Amino acid sequence: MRWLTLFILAYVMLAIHLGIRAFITWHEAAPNFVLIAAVFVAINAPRNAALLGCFVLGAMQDLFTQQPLGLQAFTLGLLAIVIVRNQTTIYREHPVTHFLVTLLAGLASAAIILLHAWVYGKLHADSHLSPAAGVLLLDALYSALLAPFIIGLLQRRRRWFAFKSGRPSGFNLRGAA
Amino acid sequence: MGLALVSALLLPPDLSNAPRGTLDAAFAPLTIPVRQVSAWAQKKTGTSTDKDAPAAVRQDHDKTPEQLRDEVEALRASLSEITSEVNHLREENRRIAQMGQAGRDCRSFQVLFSDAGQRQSIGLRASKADGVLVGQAVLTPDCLIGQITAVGVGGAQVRLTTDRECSMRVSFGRFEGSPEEGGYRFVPVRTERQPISRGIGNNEFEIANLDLRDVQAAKLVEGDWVVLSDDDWPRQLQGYPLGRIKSIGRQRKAPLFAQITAAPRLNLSQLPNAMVMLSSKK
Repeated sequence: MRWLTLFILAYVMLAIHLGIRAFITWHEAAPNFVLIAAVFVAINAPRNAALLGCFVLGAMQDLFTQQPLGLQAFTLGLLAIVIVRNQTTIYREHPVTHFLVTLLAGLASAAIILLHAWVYGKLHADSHLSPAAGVLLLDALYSALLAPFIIGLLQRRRRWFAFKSGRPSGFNLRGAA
Repeated sequence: MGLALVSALLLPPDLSNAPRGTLDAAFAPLTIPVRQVSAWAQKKTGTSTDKDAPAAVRQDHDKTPEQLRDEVEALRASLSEITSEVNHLREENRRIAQMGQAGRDCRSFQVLFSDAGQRQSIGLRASKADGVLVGQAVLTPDCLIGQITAVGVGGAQVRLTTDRECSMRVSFGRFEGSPEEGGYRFVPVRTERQPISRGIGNNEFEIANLDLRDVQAAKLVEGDWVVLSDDDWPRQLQGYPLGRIKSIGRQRKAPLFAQITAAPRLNLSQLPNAMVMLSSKK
């Protein structure tokens, strides 16, 4: 897998997310371009590369929000684990797959954020983290609606990333040891 | 992953903010054009929420005297429409002059991005080298917009007044009078209890600690101004506006308490620039 291409994708998607988010909100909801990028990586990349790629995407997003550090990294990492496990059962070229996987990932992400807010509130008495569930659900739907276009476009340029299908072989976290 | 989870749950906000502001400027080559194009597209499609944003001033130095004369004639024709605008601007000028001291130590910085998550914050193209420090107030000529929460070598992050974690003591007031009566003056509206504002997202904040009787006795109405009245903030900013009341109602869970929702005049996440008050530190 070409890590430089993945890094450029992460940079561009995060920059678009940061720049455009405030201008395309609808009832406070906005699409999560980083989540869409993470879904693209998770449905295509080998296991370890997908986990690391999604985790880094989340960690980068964490640097540009007021949310507690690590929340997005944990969320996208966890989503990558689930998506990668089902990689062989999904038809990664189909727009419906892109829509559904992004929608489910968005809903799971919303559930994690709500659960985190609840637990964080219990642990930190002065905290007022209480994201609106409706907005998070709209976020997920908004992202899912855009996903077929963005992931579809990225799928056409899949060879730029040189993803290796099947069992992981291109990158191994334990390989260096 | 485990480390991320521990950090997300246990790390206090001060430590959480430590690594922030380091990579902000690295994204500027893309985020700034994207923001500019988005703002332009929003203006073109008529979906801009900043109805009161001042129009850009054109500076055409190469016009001939004939063209300028035509332009003056056109402007005279629309004088009646402008008169109401002038009255509005007089009110604005008076208010800015009243709070002008706050603007003396300010420096303007470009906004790089808005929050990447579900919170209300913006990133500025500012660093410690510019004299920006955590805790400094951030404002525009229209309103106080927030406070610096993280500064690094690549940028500074601002928690907006509309963020859920942002609260401050405030008070109310309204402008009374007319040009015929000698101008407008700001009249404070007193309440029994000190109002406390808290951000609720969606470019709004609420005041939920006043009982309904108190609000009715004070004769608060929609459109009244919410201004800062918090000793924890710099003296120059006391009385600086935060926004205007959008709605007043009963709280669902506590019907004896009032639910006051207010909003800044501008969409704070879409600002192209913001001013940091360099001498202030909360």
